Amino acid sequence: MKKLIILVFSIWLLPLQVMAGTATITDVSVTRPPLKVSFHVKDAFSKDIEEAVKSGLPTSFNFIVEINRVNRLLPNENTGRWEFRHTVKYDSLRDEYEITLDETGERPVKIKDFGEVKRLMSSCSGVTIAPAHLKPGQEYELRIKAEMDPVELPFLFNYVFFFLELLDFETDWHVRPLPSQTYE
Amino acid sequence: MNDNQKIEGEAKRRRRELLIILLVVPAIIILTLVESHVSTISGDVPIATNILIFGLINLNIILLILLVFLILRNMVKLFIERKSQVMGSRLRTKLVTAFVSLSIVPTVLLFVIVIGFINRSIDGWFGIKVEDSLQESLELAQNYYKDINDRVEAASRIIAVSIVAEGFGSDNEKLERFINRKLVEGDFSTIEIYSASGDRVLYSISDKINQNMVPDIAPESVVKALAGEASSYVQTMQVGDVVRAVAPVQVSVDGMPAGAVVVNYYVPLSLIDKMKEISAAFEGYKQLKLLKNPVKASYFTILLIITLLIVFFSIWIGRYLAKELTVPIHELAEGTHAVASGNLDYRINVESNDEIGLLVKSFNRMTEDLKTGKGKIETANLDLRRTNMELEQRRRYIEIVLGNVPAGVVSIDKSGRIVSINRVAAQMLGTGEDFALGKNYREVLRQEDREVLREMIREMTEVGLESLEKQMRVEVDGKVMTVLANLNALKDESGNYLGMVAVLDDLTHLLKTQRMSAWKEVARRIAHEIKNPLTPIKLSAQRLRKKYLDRFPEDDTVFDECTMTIIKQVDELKTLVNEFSSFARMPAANRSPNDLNEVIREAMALYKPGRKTVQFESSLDDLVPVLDIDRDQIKRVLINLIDNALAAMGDEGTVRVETHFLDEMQLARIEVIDTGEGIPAESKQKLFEPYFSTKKTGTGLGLAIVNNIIADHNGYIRVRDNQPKGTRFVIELPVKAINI
Repeated sequence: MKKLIILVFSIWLLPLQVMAGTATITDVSVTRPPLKVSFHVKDAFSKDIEEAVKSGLPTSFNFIVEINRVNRLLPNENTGRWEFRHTVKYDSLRDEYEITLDETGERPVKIKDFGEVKRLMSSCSGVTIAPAHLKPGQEYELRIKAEMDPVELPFLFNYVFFFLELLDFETDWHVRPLPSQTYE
Repeated sequence: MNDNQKIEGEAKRRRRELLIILLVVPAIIILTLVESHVSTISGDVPIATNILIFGLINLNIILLILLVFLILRNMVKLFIERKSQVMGSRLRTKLVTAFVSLSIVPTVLLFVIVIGFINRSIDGWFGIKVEDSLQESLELAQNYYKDINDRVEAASRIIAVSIVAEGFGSDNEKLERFINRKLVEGDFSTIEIYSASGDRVLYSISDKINQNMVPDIAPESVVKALAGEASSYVQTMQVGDVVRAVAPVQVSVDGMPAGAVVVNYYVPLSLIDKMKEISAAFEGYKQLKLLKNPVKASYFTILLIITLLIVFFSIWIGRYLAKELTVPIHELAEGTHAVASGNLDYRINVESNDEIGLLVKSFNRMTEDLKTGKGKIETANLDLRRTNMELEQRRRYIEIVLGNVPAGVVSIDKSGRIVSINRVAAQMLGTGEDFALGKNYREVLRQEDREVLREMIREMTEVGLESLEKQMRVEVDGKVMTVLANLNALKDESGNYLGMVAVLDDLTHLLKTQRMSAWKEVARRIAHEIKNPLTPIKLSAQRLRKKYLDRFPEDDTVFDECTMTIIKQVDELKTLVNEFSSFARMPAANRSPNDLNEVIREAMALYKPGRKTVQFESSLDDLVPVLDIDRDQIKRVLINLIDNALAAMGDEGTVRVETHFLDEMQLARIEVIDTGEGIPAESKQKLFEPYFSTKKTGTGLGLAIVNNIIADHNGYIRVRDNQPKGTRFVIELPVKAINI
């Protein structure tokens, strides 16, 4: 019975494991003042995601940046969380991509080059985060994660659960200590 | 764990499996329905939020896996049972195979056909022609936009160049006419001219539209143009799209533009909607194409699951039906085995109303009947055993009685087989009880006895007698016995002949006593009749000698010898008569406590002085207790025996008297031993009978008297040969507790 339960949960968790994909957060840099974070999501665009974007499906990358205070004994304490997203929508009529970058607050950009689209979608450059209460002498860690908002599929196809992995990705949390000179 | 516990455990597991399957199957159906419903109503809800569906699907899969697990487990169990040759596994395998075969063929056929059909259908949906048509439609729409854009851009550049080339200067009317003409020629919506300072100096609008449809251009585009950079873009509005192109009016190559020309082309909303529809259709098609393989996979999966479900259910139903059949059969087989082993309390607990149930009920009833029958048999057996025991006790009692009666009893059945024979009869017939039992009397009896019996049977048969008595002589341990054989035919109540019973009475002692009495009578008469004339004869002979002996010459000795012979013979006759008289008048023993050894010493003392040449020895056991005996009679016994011994030895020899106390047998033994000539074997039998003597001068009464005296003392005398020579008389007297 125990083996059966383990088997069932393994099967349950299998899709989640597959969905985790291979996308990773790279090129993370932090500058001051004010506190700005730059990073890049490597391998965010799989072939299927490219196809999905080119087929006109609105596609969004969701980025999460967190700053946690590191505690020795107790669990780390969250001191700030920022979420922003990059959205792309292909206009097949005009053969151009309309990209919206939340963090810039600017109007959508229309681009015809798909390479540029991928670059813009996967990169966050100088995103300003304004954490309060960062106390000198305390240790903090920066956590970054990127995930793709699952693409909305037409009619009943969305119940084919194993299909989700094709149009989805989620990176692991990228965790690194926040350099003290950035906030002291 | 015993067999019952195993069976109970197995039954519990089966019930649990059945319960799981009964829960899982409806759960799968209900959850599938719910999922379909939820998916339908979820509509535009993003999948990210549709965790419920995700969970339900996974739950469904888990339940399906659980079902598969149970079925596979049953299959493995069936395989193992078949390998282990568990009873019923063959039938179970056959039924499961039949069900699977019956279900799997149409199911797989249907599966293959449906998959092929779906494949063809989906491939048909995404056919090249459809894609090409949509692609071309989209390209048409794209070309339309591109064409307008090209026209607007070209017009803006041409107008800008023309303004410089024509040199309109400050002649705005001429410029206006030129612009209006270009507006009409190009079917543009509006044309605007901006000065170098960015002010609009001329505005021409087509009469086909109103000014609201084409809003003013963004100032930055004009600024960009005044900086020397031409541009074009599409501005989307609620009422439609406006394709704009801005070109600088370049007076000189190096100098700054003198102004800017803006050409706008209004694309109506109806047209845009149509193109958007084409675009949306193409995008939808592309998205569907993206899902082509997953859709196929999903259909394949669903069909596969349904197929597997059908197959699994077939297996399960096959197994269930097989179990319905084999379990009672197995139970019946076990029950039969148990009943055969003697367990009549075995009952089969299979609840079923079909023929199997009837069979089970019949079996249980049969077992119950058997148990009742067995109980009755056991009771009867018990009664029988009791009766047998009683019969056995009775038989043993009869055996004991027969064994202790002094007569011999032999019974034979009608075939001549010896049915019973007691110890005395066995002794008389010279056989053993165990040897004789069950054998035919012809095999057991001696030749002479067999002849006698056959003669008796023949006589009974010829005359038709029920019983017959006959005296016969038999030899037992070398002694001849006179036996009265009484042969009786045995018949049952109906008069059927069952066999015969022979009663053998030992008449030896009786005849001996009778003879003894007769001899005593003879002796008494002889003593009486002969003794009286003996005295006158002797006196007469003595007077004759006294009166006439002197008258005969000395050489004539006839008279003397004759008278002496008369006198001598008369004396001998007198002695003989006295012996007879003693024998005839043998008084009853007058017993009193006496020391046996002393009596023996006294008797021996009488002979020792007179017979110097004979050696008298004695070995007397001091342990011999005081006996209740007639002192004089015992002394006479010893005297008679010693007389006999001396007579047998002649002048020389040894007479030895021994006494022994046999404690365990409570006997006092006297042995009188001589070294004489001994007694021949044929004489030993008649030695103690009256008037039997091996001596020429013996009366033959000495040992008869000895025998009488010993018999009166409840003792026993026998004669044996002494080694190396001589005779040994052994007397045994019982020792009784005596109150002195």
